[in-house]
Amino acid sequence: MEILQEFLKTTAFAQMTLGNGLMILVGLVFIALAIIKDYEPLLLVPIGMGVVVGNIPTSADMGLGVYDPGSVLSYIYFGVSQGIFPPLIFLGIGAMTDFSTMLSNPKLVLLGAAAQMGIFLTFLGALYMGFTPQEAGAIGIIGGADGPTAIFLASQLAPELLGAIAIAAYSYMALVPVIQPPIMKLLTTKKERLIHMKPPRHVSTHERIIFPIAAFLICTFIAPGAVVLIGMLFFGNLLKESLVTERLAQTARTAMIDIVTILLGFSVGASTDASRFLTKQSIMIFGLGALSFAIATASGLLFAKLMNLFLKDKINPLIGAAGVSAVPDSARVVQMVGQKEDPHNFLLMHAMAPNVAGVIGSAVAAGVLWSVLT
Amino acid sequence: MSLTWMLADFGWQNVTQADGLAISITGMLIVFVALVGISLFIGLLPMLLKVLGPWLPDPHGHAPTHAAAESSSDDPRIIAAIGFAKHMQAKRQGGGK
Repeated sequence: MEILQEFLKTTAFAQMTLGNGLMILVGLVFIALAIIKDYEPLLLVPIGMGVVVGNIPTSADMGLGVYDPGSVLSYIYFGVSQGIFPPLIFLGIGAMTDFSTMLSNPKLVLLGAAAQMGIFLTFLGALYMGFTPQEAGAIGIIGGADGPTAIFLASQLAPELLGAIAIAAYSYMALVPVIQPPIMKLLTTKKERLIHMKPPRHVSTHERIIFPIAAFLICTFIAPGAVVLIGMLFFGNLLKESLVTERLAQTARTAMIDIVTILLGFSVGASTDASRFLTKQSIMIFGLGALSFAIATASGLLFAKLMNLFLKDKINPLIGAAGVSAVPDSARVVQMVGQKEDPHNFLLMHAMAPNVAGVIGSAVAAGVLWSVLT
Repeated sequence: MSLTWMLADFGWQNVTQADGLAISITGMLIVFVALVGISLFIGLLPMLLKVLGPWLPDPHGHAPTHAAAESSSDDPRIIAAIGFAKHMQAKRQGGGK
């Protein structure tokens, strides 16, 4: 009987807190959103399941949690806490990214830069709210709409906020189809949304091969802090475009990125133990994250409108919203909003240019913040 | 959770003490310089390739080249359809972050 009583004390029922219950509910909502609404299922299912796993209370003596040294989860989380997984994801992204629309219309690169305004304005907002400069930098990067970059920078600058920042970044990335359209409609006129853009020009194989090397050199000479993320991104792209390493590119964009995504998503989710996650800081991070997404979207749109004042061939300002680097969802949202106005307007290819430029821009911004704040 | 507790540490002095404004402006400037640099390079690349063309070897791959895509029609609907199909394929393969 005594043994049974002792055992009952170790069950999750006995140790469950309201916070754990709440977080398990959050995890289940993530899974439901992924399955029912198809919101970023490749991310939300691993993260959601991780949240559920990480909030099952276990006896401290058993050492099963992410933060318990020597546990299986702690070894998986090592890739997150040491910033190993994000560059590997960038390698895969590079190997699957087609930069040709960007190469065919280089002025659209500027939209990817404008959308990074969200990062730096949120940085100011976080400082105003009392976060340390390092924490503010890690929070600001949520505005880059780039999960791996957010995790990478948070692991370097504010590891204590990593769970909240990662969950906020991925949650808002999954909610891009919900957050962006109202801002896009608010800041553009119907006439602007109806603008048709010229088809992209032909891009030669030489251009595709030279671009990743040259762009890497330009970015890292200006912002050496971005060398890891940018290096892996363009290395992956070179594997794809060089045409002689197709096997490596194929592995990087399929099996490797899938494995890393599973490990990263699950372990980030498992790191959201209620006692560490449900804090005043997390609430503020979520608020700032939403704000940064909205600012980033608005900045891209408004900059596109500004560019139109000087351009002969007008660009559809909707594609400015794709400057946030949530690849490819923000480009897909641009296509969706554009087609609602005119079913014959195909903006996806054009939106991919600021979208991939946004990936580069947010990685450079992360490099700058890392250099300045360490 | 009272609002006073949430707002306790708020203040513009936090921004000034951390040189927040200078960091933000400098950061934004660096991002723009980097991407303008890339944009200029891309703009100049076709001219550069015209000059260097005679000395550059033809790319040879172990996989199909981009020739098929390059010779496709300029019809935006076809380009968009190809783009959408590639995007869906990338999504199925685990595309996106």
